[in-house]
Amino acid sequence: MESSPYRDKQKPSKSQAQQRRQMENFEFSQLAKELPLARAISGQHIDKTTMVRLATAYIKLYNIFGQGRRAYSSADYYYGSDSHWTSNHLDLLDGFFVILDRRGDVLYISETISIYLGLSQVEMTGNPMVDYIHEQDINCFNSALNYCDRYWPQMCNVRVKSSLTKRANKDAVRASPGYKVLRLEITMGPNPNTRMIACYPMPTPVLSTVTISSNSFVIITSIDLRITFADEKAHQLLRNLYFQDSNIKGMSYYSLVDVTDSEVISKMHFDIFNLGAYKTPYYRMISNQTANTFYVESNIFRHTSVSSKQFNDSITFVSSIL
Amino acid sequence: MAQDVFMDPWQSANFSMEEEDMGMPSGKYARMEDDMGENKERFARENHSEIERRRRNKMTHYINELAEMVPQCASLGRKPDKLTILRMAVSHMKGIRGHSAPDETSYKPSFLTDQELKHLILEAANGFLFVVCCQTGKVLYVADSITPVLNLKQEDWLQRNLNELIHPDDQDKIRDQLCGSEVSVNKVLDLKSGSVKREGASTRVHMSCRRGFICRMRVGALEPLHRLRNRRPLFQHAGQNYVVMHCTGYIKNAPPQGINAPASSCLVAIARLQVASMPVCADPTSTNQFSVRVAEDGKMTFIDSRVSDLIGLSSDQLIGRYWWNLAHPADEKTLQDGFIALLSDQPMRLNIRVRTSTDYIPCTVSAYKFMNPYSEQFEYVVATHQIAPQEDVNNWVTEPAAPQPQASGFSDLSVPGNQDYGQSSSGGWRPEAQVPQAAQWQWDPMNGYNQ
Repeated sequence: MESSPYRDKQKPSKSQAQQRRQMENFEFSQLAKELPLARAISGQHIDKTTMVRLATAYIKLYNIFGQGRRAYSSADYYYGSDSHWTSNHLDLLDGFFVILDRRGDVLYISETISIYLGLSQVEMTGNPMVDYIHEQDINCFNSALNYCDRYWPQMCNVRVKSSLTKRANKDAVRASPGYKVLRLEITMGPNPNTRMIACYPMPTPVLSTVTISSNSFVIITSIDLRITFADEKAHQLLRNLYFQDSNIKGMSYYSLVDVTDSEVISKMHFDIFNLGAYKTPYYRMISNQTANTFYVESNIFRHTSVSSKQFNDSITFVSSIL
Repeated sequence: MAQDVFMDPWQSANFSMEEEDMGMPSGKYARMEDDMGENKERFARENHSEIERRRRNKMTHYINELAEMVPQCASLGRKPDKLTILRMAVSHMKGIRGHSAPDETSYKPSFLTDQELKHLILEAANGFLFVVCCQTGKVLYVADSITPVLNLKQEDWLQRNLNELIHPDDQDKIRDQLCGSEVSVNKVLDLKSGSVKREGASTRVHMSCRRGFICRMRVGALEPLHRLRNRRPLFQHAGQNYVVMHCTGYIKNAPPQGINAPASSCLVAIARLQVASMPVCADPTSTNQFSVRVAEDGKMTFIDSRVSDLIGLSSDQLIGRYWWNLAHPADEKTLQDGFIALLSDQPMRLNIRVRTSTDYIPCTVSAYKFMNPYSEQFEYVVATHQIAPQEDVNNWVTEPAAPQPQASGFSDLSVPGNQDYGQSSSGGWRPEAQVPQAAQWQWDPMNGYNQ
C-alpha cells in the first residue's frame, strides 16, 4: 500500500491516504493505551505529538533503568516487605524529581510538580528542561549540570516557570512574575549521561508574611547587607559578649560570617537581586564575635515595598542552626 | 484544536528565543495573534499554515526519535514508515509494561515503578523513609535505604527510641515535632517588620499535619560512605558521629497498614542528607594554615580556631590586637606596610616569621581585601597564614596555594559585573572617606522597625 501512490495519482490515493490515516489513528490509540499515564489523563484527548513524545521518553527511561532494575534485584537489597510504603514517597517530600538525558531533555518528572509549579508531567516529559528555566538562569543551570559527577553533586538556585505565581503588587515587586525560585540538587543518574535533580521550592511569601520553623532566627538587612533588624535569638548568638550593650545592628552581615565561607554570602548577594529568594548551602557564622563558629543554612528573601512614598528594599535572612 | 488541552497557562517571557523550539505548546502562538491587534486578520491565514508546518515538523522529529529508540525499527536496516514505527513502538511498549508489572491487579500506571522511585529518592536525595510512633518515640519502620545513607542497618533503628538515634541536643526539637501541632512548630514572619507571630487560625487545615525539620542523626562508620567522607559538618558527641538530616513528612492518625503497632499517631517522614549543601572539609594541604580577618584599623577581628594548634596562641588572646603584633618584631614593619599597600589595592604575599607561644616560625602570609559587592565599601581583609612544616624550614620554598576542588558549586560560575547592580557607588575605598559605623544606618529606612 505504500508503493502504490505513484501508480494511480488521483482518486485511489485519496482513499488510500484516508485508509493510511485510519490505520495510523488506530496505532495512535493503541499507543495511548500503553502510555504509563493514569486513566484519568489518558482517557482525555492527548494530541499525537504528545503521545509520541511521551512514548519516546518512556522507552528511554526503560533503557536506562531497565538494566538497573535487574542489577538492583540481584543486589543485597531486600524489597519484599516494604513495597506498600514506596507509593507515598513522593507525597512525603517537599519537592519533586526530574531525570534528564544527556541533551537535557526531561525523561521523567514526578507528577507532584503540579502541586509546586502548576505544570504538568504530560506537558514537560520529553521536552528540554531549559525551556522552563528563566533565560538569565540557564547558564547557571547548565554549568551545574556539567560540573556534576558521581561524587560531586551540585546545587543551584534557579527560576522555573510556574502558573501558580501571582502578579506583582505594590508590596512585592517580584523579580520575575510567572516564575518560582527552586533549589535544585543535581546528582548523576544510574547512567553517567543522565542527571537526577531533586527540586525544592523556596517558601513563598504570602502578602508580606512567610512561614518559618520555630527554631530559626531572623536578621533583616538593607540591600548592602547592613543589618537593620535582628531578633532576640540572633542577638544572643551573634552579639559581642565583651561589651554589655553591643548590638549587631548596623554591622555588616559579612562580618558575622566565617571568612572562609564569605564566598557563599557574596554569591548569594549577587544572585538575590535577580532571584528574589535564595537558599544557601551550609555555611559558618561566628558565634558572639569569638573564634567559635556554628553551621547554619539560610533562606533569604528580598522584600520590596512602597510606604509613604518611600521605596523600601530589604533582604531577610531566616537561618536554621544545624 | 487538539493541542488546546495542553495549552500552557503562563505567558512566555521571550518569544524570539523560543520561537523555533520544537516543544513549544501552541498557546503562545494563540497569544501572539492577540498581540498583533489590527494585523490579526491579515496574518491569520499565514499564521495558521505556519502553525501547521511547525506541528508537522515537530511530529516528524518526534517520530524519528521514537524510531531510534525502538529496537525493532533500528534492526530493520532501512528507515521505516510512520505506520511501521508506530506499530513497532506499541509492541515494544507492551513488552516493557509486561516486564515491569507482573501482577496486573496492583498495576498503577506511572513512568517509574515504586521500586525505581525509591531508588531515585535514595540516589537523588540521599534519603530514606521512616515511621515513628508519636507517643513512645519508637521507630516502627525504616527503609533499607538507610544503609547507603547513614551506614546503619535496619535493625539498628527498628524498635529503638528515636532519641537514641539523634543528637542529644536535638531531642527537645523532635519532641515538639512529634507531639505538637503545626501551630506550635511553625511561626509566621512578617518580612516588612521582622515581627514573628505564632501561626494564626487562618492556616489551611489540611496542612496542619505536615512536618519539616532539621536534626542530627547518628551515622555508622564513615569509611564506606563516600558521600560523607569529605563533607562537613559532622558533629561528635560521646564518641559518635552525627550528620545533619532534613526530614519532611506528615503525622498520621494511625500507624500505616502492615505495621504491627498500637493505635497511636505516627510520623511518616523521609530523612535526607543534603550532600550538595555540605562544604568540603579542608584538604590536607591547608591543615597547616589559619585565616585571620583584619579590620580597616589593622586589628584582628576573627581568627579561626586552628591557630591554637599551629602557633600555640589562643584566638581569644589575639582578637583585638593589631595584626602586625603577630609577626616577629623585625617583621612587624613589613607586615604593616604590606597591610597599608593592600588597602590601596596591591596584592600581598609575604614571607615573615610569626610568633608562637615560645618562639618564632617562618610563615607565608597572603591576603586580599574583601569588598562588599553591592556598595563596594571595604568590609575586611582576609589573611591566610601558611606555616612552613618544621622539617622543611631549612629548604623552605613558597608554593602557590593548592586550588580548591570544584565542589562548592559556585566556583565555576561567572560573577556578574558591578553594572548588574544598577546603582553601585562609583568610588573605590578611600580611608579618609570612611563613615563611622554608627552613622551608617541613619539613612536606612528600616531603622524605625528596631524591635
